[in-house]
Amino acid sequence: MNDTASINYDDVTTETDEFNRPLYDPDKLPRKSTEEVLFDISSYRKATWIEEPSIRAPRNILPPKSSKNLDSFKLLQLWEGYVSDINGDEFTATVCDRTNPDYPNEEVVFSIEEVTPDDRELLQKGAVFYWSIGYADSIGKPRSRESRIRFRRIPGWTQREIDSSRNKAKELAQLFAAD
Amino acid sequence: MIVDSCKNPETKQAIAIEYLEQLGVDPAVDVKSLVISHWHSDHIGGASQIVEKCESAQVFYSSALLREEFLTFVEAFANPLSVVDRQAPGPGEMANIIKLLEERAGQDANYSRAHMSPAIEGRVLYDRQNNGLRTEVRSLSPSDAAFTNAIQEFSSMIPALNEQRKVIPSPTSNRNAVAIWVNFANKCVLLGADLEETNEQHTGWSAIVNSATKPAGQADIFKIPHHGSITAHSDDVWSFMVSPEPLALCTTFSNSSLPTENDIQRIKNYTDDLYCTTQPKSKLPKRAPAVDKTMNDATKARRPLGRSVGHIQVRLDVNGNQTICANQYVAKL
Repeated sequence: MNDTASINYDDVTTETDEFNRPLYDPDKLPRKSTEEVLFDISSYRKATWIEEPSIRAPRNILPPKSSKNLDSFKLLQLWEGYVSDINGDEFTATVCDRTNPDYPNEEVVFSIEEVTPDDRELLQKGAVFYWSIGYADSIGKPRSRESRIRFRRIPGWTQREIDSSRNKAKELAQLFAAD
Repeated sequence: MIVDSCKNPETKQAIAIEYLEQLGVDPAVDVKSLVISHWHSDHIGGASQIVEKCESAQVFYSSALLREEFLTFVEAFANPLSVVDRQAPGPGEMANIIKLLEERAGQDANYSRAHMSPAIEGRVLYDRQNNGLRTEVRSLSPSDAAFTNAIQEFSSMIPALNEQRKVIPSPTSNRNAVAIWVNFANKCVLLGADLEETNEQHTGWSAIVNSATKPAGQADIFKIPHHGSITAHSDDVWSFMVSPEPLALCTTFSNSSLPTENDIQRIKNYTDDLYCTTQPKSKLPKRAPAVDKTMNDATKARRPLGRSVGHIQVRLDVNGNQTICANQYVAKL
């Protein structure tokens, strides 16, 4: 029985795997008894047979991190507005120019379709929103000029605030009473 | 006497104070009274500055404004968390005025009695004789019924628990405004504030025309109520309280495009001597083409809300002769 140490593996090597490890033609390997194989296997398990570098994930398996944001919005103009009237499928609003504070307010009429469905329930008289105009950039898409209306989400009135107002008002009314 | 207030959009100061100081008047000493006809933003901008500067002045206010219901409403919306239209600071001004009055009343137990008075129908606000010349100012409104209605309206404006925060509710009625009658020399002046006609006997202009305390005489100078709106028109006022062909003064209100063409034509049926403090229409400011195009695509209609300040000065001498001066933002219609 041949000793594995005496095998010239160059004679039995047929090819290498993708990690450049030699693959052996089993027909060309010397035959061993079951006992020898089992012994070898137990020895094999104890030995580190891999002489090539340890298995690890190849480099650069993840795509390189992009240096730019995937989506961006270049703001050109911002207004803060409030709804003054709702009439069927349109609403009227007064908007205050936040980009050019010296410009006068404008009264504008929007179609309700300009409001994203998520915000429709917030569309009420007196509701406050931001209206922004700018350029939207997304990777793989052409630049687009967009108008965006977004309603402010502010917590509702609390009992504490209402009670505090009532109490202070009572105090003031008594203070100002001339009689 | 100063009646109502607005701010200079450039200096942010109360225009009345700027004007008086230009004339060499010391507001702290010479202003004897301030009338707050109602709390709407276009009549009260800068009023807190006047209250602060005119320390010795008597403050007359529409009677429901210092009642618990309105004070609750103001306290709620003066809260930093509340949402306020930056361009409509009415409740904020009222909150500042109330704070000033509170401080003064806290320091002087007699302050309220001496310096604060509700203006109601038939109350004399000023009555003096100087060098044989009598000057009398009286409030013609609100009536008792209007006061009651105002209290109910203010109660309904107080926010409810969990209610969505919105800008301060736009006032829907002007029935509590203080209209003022002035007698000077041999002339009468009717300042209409924003008082509306209700066609009810006990409120609005009908209440004034039917009132037992209605002043005698007819006004030679008429400040048209509520920016010339049809809602403030009363045939009876023109027939019984205003002289034929009076000098009519109208202030435009951009937010509601008042006066309209129809309003102007209606008023001109009564007088050809009509002045408006600003031109009724303004141009849109220039913006970047991309912005303008997108705005026009996104909106169905746009119009600017003008900020030019018109100034009409009417002076009466001791014989009642009047002279009129105006700046470039005034239109004779």
